[in-house]
Amino acid sequence: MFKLLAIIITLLSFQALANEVNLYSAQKEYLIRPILNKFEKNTGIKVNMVTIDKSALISRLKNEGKNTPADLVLTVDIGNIYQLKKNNLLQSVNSKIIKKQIPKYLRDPENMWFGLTMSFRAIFYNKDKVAAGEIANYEDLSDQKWRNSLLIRSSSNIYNQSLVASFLAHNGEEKTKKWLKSLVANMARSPQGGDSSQIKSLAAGEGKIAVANSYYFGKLTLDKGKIQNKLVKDKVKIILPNQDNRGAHVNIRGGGVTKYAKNKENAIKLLEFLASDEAQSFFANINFEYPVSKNIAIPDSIKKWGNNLKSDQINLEKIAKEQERAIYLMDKAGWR
Amino acid sequence: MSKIFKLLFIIITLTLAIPLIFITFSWFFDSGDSFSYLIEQNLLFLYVKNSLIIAFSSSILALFIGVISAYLISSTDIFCKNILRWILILPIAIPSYVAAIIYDELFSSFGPIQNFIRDFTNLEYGQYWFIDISSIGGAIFILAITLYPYIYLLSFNAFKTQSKQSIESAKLLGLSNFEIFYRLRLLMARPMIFVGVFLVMMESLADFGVVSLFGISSFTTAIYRSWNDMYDPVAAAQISSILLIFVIIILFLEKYSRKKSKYYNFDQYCANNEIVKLPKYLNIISFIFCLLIVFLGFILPFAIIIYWSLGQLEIFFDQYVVDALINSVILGLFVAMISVIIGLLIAFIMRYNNKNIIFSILTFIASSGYAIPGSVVAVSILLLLIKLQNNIFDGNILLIGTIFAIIWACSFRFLTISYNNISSSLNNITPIMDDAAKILGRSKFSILTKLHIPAIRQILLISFLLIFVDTIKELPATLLLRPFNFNSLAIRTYELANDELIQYSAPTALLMIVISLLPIWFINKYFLMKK
Repeated sequence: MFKLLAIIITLLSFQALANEVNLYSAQKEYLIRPILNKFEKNTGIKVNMVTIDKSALISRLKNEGKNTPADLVLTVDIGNIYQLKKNNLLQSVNSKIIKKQIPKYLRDPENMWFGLTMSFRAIFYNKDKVAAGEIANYEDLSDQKWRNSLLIRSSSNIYNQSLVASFLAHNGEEKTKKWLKSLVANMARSPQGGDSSQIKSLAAGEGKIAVANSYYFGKLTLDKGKIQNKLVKDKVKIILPNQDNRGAHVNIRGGGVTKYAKNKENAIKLLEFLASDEAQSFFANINFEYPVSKNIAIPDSIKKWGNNLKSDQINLEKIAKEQERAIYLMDKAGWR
Repeated sequence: MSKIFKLLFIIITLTLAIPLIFITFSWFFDSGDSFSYLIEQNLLFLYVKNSLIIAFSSSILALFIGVISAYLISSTDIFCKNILRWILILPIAIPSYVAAIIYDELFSSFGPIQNFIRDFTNLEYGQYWFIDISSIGGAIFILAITLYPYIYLLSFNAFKTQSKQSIESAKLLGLSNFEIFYRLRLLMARPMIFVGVFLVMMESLADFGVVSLFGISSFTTAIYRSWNDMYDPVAAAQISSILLIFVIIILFLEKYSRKKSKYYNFDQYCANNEIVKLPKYLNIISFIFCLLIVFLGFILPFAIIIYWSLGQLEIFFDQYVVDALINSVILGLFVAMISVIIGLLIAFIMRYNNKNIIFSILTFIASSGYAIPGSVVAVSILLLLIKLQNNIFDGNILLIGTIFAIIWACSFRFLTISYNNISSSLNNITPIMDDAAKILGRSKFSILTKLHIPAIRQILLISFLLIFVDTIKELPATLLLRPFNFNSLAIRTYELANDELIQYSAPTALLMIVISLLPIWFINKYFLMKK
């Protein structure tokens, strides 16, 4: 009770506590809090965090305008990150440390947003039904031989939207339309469930191939833990797509400093810390994501999927700009 | 006194109604094209159709389960009545989306049951028939099995307080037990039963968790899409306002079909205690029916959650989880208290002003929050508070990110429960009692405290506890409006489940359920057990 009152009072009274940084995060607390604690311990700067759904984060920041308490935002998917920039909610940060740590295609040309971890949209196959090498590229998903055998989630999933946007950026509208039409015809069932469910249904034999983010496979095939799934371990193989041409479509979790940050210095310090080797190796080991920093060795748990992921080096902003058109084309093609 | 009441009434209803007024008037705001986009793509019709099928079917199924079980427990000599009586409420503690996740894990192609079938028969997926849980039928089942306790509790109360005289008279007229149930008791209980059905229907209309997991395109999908894909909260509000049209239609149909008939309990202090003796075979069937309902709605999901929680018990001692637990409980108590007090006040004032059109409209608006998806209520309040904060206080006072905002959003949503419960049970008190009190020179305030509150105290208690449980399960408003570093159990559960780490979300889900069990135990001890 007193605690609640204390919270109300501190929030109502103007916030002027010195050494702190306020964070809006669309990345979940269980993923981000441990590393924030480390930052607090290293620097003595208190991190106040509230997690918000990605779209709510944008609406809230946009409407709060110059009175926003947020100094730093973290979110997922390039589409969301780009919306922050497009709505003029971020400011440019000039940090040598960050530039050194993060490769060019994973950060904004104008230094407003930065990718902090990376994963790729993987193709999976059931090894009882498909031979190795039968499928290699995203383009192959539309092949007629996969009629009624593709498992993929709904078109409202942002990772699918980004995948289609990247296809569009590379192949143009006509090719994308055709690809989408056959891809929808190839679906084994009307889209349902999350990424994990696609992989698990694949293992059960509901389809022959599936599409999902790489880290979900990591969690399902862990050696121990509650999520681990024996069926998936036995039956499902992961493919690094488009390795002989442009590379696999990658997506990021990332963020930037807000335009009206009141604790700008601290926000930059936190961003630099999240790009640092210490934080990068933490991310790589907790969630099966690729570190963006080249200094960090790729953990074995990821390495076993295939040596040296070749990632599509197109600047992510180009993909983000195609997202709206991608959604339209997906709806047109009847992808529910 | 009465003027102060009226002023209070207007202030409170207007305050609560603001989010809804915002939603309704969103049609006049300039918004993106996402609404016309949905129509253009022919998506809206499909969404509406699915939503209506789900809402109607799940409330009919819940009606069937709730009323039959309430009748069996309140009026017959069914086996193990004392145990069934309270375990029938338990499914209310399981959030619908949690039940959906668990049934999906169990019955999907990769679940243990189908795995076993494949191993045992050497067949492959598709070569044998199995229930498809991720379907409209599955969603209807999940919603009905987790929401029927609203109907059960309210009809139980109605059956319990029915007057002895009416039933005795029916007997003298030679009606059989079935006829008495069907032609008299059901009719007398109808207003309370309707409130229950109404709540279930509203909740299924506003459901997003279950339909999104099962990949069903429903109305809430449209709301979610226009917000999440197109970053357009105003369009989301516009689409939600269509939900209100359904609410108005449902309420109108009920009023119209009831016409002028009113049911008063003249002698509720002389309630019917008679127990119908069931033939043995019917008794066994009834017993199995009730047990099956509880098994599907509570025992099975609860057992799975306990199973998943094993091996990660240390989480219960995590400082973040303990904080989340305390926050959830305090929030639940606050919201329940405020909603019940406001509900009582509004219902009491409406008792004397039900011909006043402005009052009726205000009451309707203030008490229809349950039908609006929580996220839309939350975003309306969010945008409103930000406007206030920026334009009036010039950013010097932070209104969002306070407990106040969460309580506002929750009270608005849950007032539907308390207001409807309280007003239907007040309607059971004949106005003759009020007149008698007035003649005796009592003030309105003393009529409220000395006559009405004692007469409906059980419904006040039920409403309080239902809202408490609902607040514990509440997610979108808390998620969107909370202060920095403030967590609740529902948020923690959601964040892990949303990242598809379902098993890891089990311990906090378990805590949520256990906390909800306490008030259920309380309802049983102080209300259901009472003779």
